[in-house]
Amino acid sequence: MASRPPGMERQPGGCGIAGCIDVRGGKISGDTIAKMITTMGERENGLGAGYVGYGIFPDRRDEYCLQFLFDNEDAKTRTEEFLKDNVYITGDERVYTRKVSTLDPPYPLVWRFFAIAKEKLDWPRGPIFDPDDRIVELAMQINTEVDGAFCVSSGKDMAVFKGCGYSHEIAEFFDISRYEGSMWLSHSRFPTNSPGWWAGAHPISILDWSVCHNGEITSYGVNKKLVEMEGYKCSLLTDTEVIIYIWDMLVRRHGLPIPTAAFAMAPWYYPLIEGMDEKSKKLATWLRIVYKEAFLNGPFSILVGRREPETTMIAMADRKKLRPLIAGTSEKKDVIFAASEECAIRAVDTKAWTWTADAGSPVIAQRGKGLIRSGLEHPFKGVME
Amino acid sequence: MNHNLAKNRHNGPKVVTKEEVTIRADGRDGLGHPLDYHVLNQMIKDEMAAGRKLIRVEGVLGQRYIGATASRNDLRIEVYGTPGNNLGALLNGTNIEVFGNGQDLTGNTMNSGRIIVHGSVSDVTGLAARGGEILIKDSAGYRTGIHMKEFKGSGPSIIIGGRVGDYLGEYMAGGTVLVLGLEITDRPIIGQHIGAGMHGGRMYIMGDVRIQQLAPGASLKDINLSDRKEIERLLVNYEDTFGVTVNVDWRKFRKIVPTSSRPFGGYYDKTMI
Repeated sequence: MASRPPGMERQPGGCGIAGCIDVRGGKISGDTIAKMITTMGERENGLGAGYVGYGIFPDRRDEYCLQFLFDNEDAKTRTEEFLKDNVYITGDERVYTRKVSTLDPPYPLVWRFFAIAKEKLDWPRGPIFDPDDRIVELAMQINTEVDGAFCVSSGKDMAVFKGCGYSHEIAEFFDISRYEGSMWLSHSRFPTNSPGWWAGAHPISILDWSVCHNGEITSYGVNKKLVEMEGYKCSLLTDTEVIIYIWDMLVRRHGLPIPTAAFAMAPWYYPLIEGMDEKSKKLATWLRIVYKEAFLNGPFSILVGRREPETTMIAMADRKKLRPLIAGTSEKKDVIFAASEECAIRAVDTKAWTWTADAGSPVIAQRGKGLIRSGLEHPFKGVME
Repeated sequence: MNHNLAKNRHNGPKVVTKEEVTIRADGRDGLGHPLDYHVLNQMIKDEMAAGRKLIRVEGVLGQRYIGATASRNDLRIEVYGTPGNNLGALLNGTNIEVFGNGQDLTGNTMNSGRIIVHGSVSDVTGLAARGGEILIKDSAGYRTGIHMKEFKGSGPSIIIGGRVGDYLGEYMAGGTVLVLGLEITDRPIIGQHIGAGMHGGRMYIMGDVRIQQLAPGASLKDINLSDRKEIERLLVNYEDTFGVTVNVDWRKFRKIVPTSSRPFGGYYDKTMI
């Protein structure tokens, strides 16, 4: 047969990422982020898209919001029973979804539970008192052990809306415009070496962390080994999930500042480290040795979101800048943007000021503090703190 | 002409004179999505075929391949907004002027013609260019001038008013790059790994360059009289294009060229030399 099998035609593309954060405490409508990501329609092929909104449940900001995709009612019942043993459920609701004419059913049942972590001493890995750790364990356990159930996000005052479709379809499916948040990240997928499926779409999230990723992690095997040793379970069939586990591990568990964790993931070359002052050189060398397995090799540009202690957006590219990333601020400097292409920023703010951040140098914007790092500084700025 | 797409819309092509035409590229679906690039580029091609001398494209937002393969010397395309990737790819003689910032892959494999950007561009500008000129008023991103080449007296040139990122002139085999570093005071005007794998061509930098910024195979030189002549030609071009005056300090110019015509001969196989 001379004709190519279905799915074997060449499709030009590459994932798209876009994010925005209001650093002065204002709210951004879900419409804004949908407009940003759908402007880069050429970067996706309909096999996954998603959004994550932070600060969207102001009335329940101290409860964990566990958002699930269920294959059927049965999976929901089993999950609910599992949850009752481990957390206090303070409320639950069906997540609003609607039919999209172009999106093929079956759709999963999307449900969210609000919960407070229970103190429990006979936890599988020994007594754990940190409620955050317990939620991580719980999400991992459900994703690997409960059939037909998938926990897509588990943080406080945030939720992930994702699925297998084009970004405009997913925005319509969840009616993203009904939400208002202080920060939004989004992703449109062009899967290269992993399947396109509902739970495997980005953003990928654990606790209050979420990541949108364009590229591939060549060092996946080594990174996976590192996070699995720390108790994380890789269950999403995609390389991206190790990124979020490494962020959670380095920043929340090991207490590294964000620029230091970023340096560990995209470290400078040794010849460049040689040129630094003695103190920096020593620290940089230590970071390279201690966190050797946290080094993300391969082309990537990522957007990372976090809520604790304050809503933060991190945008960075790999140390060779093999994937595109543009950052921008609004004229009043109250909204910070990051995206794969400038057109995504221009689509929502024609007067924005944009710049290309340096390779491996994170752009960090935090609510209340504004733009902490523009990505144009010396890569070691902020690492020593 | 493909009027079926354009005629039914209130802001379709409006003819100013016979030689000029304006095309609106903004969204017409009610949701504000930009016009699909296939449709936009077909409209531009139709106008080209109609023999226009000036095609204005307004409201551009990320549409790719604008002006790609355009090959008439007497044609000018003005782009207002943010053109998408591969602006002027395989360009062959036409002038493209952008009033806004460009994205990635501007002038990909261009053969001849001119691309002028009144703003900045992001990464991989002038990829594998074989001729023509690219003028950027402000800065350019990573991998500018990667894989450029020249032959038989024709070669591409890229002039950048601001700064450039890492891997400038990576695998460069020919052509000329001029980086002016205007209004850049707080950071180096070129990044790291400059000229990685280069084996031809030349880069002129008006400002400090440290030897540590260069990749193996590239070398740092002072400019000579013929270099100065070439730089003068490019500078006049930049000044005329953007209507600015550049304060030139000839002592600040450095030249980056390959260490030899075959800097990597025997790099992997020592017996080859």
